[in-house]
Amino acid sequence: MGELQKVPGIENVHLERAQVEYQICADADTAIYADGAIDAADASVQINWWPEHDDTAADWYQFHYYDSAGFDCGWHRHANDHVDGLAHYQERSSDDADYDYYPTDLDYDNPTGILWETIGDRLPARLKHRYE
Amino acid sequence: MDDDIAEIVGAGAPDDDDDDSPRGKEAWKEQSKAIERVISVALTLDRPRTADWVADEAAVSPQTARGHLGSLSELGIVAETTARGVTKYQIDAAYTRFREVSQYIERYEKDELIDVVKQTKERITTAKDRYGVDAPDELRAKTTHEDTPTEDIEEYKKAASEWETFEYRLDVLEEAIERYDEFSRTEVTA
Repeated sequence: MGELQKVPGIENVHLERAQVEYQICADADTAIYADGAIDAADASVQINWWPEHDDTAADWYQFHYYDSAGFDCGWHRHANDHVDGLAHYQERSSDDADYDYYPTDLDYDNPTGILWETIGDRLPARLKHRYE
Repeated sequence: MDDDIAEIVGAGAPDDDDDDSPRGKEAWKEQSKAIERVISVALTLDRPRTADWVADEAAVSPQTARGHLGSLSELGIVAETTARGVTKYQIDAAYTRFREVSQYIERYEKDELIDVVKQTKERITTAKDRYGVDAPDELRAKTTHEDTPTEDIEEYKKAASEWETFEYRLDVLEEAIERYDEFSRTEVTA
């Protein structure tokens, strides 16, 4: 949680209960995050991490973004029917649209590195590309 | 998806013109010291890793990673093992346990923890009923049975993994509840 608070423009980092799981949630200040590129009043991020008990397998995760303009996207690693393998990126323009899915190969493997790679770099770059 | 977006989100082949620096590395380095990054990675070492692996993941030199990992090992935060001349580091199980119990006590009211225990037990009961087995290992064993349909294998693996998480969390939560009054909020520093 402390690490997410360090990302410029990310605020109000807190835990939320999802069923019996806890997930990390935070708001993105749309005037600051992604250098103010987001054309929406509100934006937020949500992080889930599911440890894999089999030492030979990778942990599962979800680093996801939502905004009040309807766009949402995220980097996930879990079983799915959309791409070969576990790791993928998905996005959609509104909550009644279907997601587009793409296999991904992130640079980092550890949770903090992935946080900085996605929330700290790839996500703001994607938002700038979309909104600017 | 156009190539620009594919490159941004990490989909498809990486651009050969780029250097090998991981995305996000510079932003992370701007916001943290080397020792903070090593600690951050070390606290997630749920399997043995070399100092070189930690160095790559923490954006520090191998020498720096080795030095900080050595200190964390002396403090009992990571466990160090050497086999065939290769030293690997993994978060210490007892330290992890203490930290998790402390965090639950620090962040939640006792009643909330009791509520999560109840829900976790319900999820375990649901899994037992749904799959007709008594333990996650038995469910995982079903994935190799001849009569298990191929389309069910992934679901069984996922459910077994979740079930193990519930069992582990239940154990930690029960300890947190048991020790709640002993570890008052003001006393918890971990």
